[in-house]
Amino acid sequence: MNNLIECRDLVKMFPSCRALNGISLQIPSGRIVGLLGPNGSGKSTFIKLCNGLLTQDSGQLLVGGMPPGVETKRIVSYLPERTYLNDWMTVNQMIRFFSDFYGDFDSARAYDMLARLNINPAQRLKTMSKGTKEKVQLILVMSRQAQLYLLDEPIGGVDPAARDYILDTIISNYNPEGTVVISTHLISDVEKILDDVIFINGGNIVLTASVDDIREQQDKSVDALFREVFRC
Amino acid sequence: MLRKLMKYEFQATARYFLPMYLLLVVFAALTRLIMSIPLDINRFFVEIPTVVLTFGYVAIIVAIFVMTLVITVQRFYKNLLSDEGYLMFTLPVKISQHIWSKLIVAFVWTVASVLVTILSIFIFVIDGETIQAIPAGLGAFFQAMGSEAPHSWLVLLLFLVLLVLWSAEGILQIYAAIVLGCQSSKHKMLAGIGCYLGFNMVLQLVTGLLLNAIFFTSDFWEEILRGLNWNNPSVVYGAVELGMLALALMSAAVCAVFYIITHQMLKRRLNLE
Repeated sequence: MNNLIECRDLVKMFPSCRALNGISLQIPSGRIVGLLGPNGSGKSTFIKLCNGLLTQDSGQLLVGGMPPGVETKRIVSYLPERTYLNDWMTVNQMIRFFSDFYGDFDSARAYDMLARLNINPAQRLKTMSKGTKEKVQLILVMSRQAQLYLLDEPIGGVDPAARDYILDTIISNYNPEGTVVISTHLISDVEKILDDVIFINGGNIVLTASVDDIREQQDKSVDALFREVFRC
Repeated sequence: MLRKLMKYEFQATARYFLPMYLLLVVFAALTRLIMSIPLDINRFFVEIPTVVLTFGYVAIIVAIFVMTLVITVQRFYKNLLSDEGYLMFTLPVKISQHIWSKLIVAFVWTVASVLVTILSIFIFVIDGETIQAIPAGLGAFFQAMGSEAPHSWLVLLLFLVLLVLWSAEGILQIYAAIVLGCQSSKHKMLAGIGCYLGFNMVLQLVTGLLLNAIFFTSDFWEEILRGLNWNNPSVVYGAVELGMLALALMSAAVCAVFYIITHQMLKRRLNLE
């Protein structure tokens, strides 16, 4: 099993804090991994480093065996925690944009999901509600046949019904060779689809385990374990 | 990929420029139309609209040039270094392609703004006689250039090259200032403006030092210049051409420096918030 993400002693400093404190971890292919931690724990920082949107201060980071760059961007489908689409475009235009730049983008699948969620592809992003924009972004990201999906807070702003549909989409759509990393603090919602979990806090990895192990050995749900580990 | 990036860059900017260009042409034509009404019909009803339209026409020209500058800044900052940067920098595209696409499109709009303004002035002032005189005038111009050939063509060509380089230099200076400004965590805008002004000062200083080193530290160039026969036109042309070439090389060097700053900062110090 190849590691899709491999990092060693990865450090990222911000002017006011140490966002990642020399973390080392390996994420293999073919898994759905939850990157779980409280707000400000370093989840987004780690994902942004993997996408080359931040530059590390020290340590090594490899995505698909390569440092983040043009080649890794080809195989990574990234959903940021914010709305990042050009809001003057319509959904149709965004779909054309994605299929222009990503060879693995499947327009038919995107239109299919839009129809399921009752989103009008002729609508401009500017006129959409925040939740609808998030759905559009997730649809675009999940319509790629990527090797690695990095989803930062993918369900934060959408209603519970759409949440279920989105989680279904994630497990049914991703390529079985690929890996999905989901960062979130809404653990009970994602728990049922996760294979592995990584607990992160204050820029340190607190725990990495498979969900089965947590259930069998500790006889707990991931949610319960999370509450225990991160008790305030 | 560069072509695709440019396609979207044009799409994103055309929706500002094209309506403004249209507005300018329409205003020029309207003003022209009103002015062509014979004054003795009704002085009052012609003069007021003429003043208003002329004022509007000039205001639109000013607006177009301000807009060209603002959009050059805004497209680079907003599209690459704010939220939209999350999309742009996760595309499988080289950083150099991002810079070139922005630079080329900004340059094209700068040229287009100048050309449309010239066109509107033509609409404003031209009449039947002038239109008829244009072919003859152009013919005379080219004939004159032909008789001075090949020097005048070379000078014209060098002049165009200089215009392109100077525009590119201006745009790249803005980009370099923006990427450096973004290194500041709190006052990006202020830091960017500071960098831009700083670049201006450094450029002036370097130019001054260079001129000083070439012309004032030894008599070498002075003696050469004094020894030339300035009554000979080809000597004059030669000197002008050499001077322009030197300016072009200097500008190209400055462009390269700004480009490298922009590229290296985006490559090594990209830290989107």
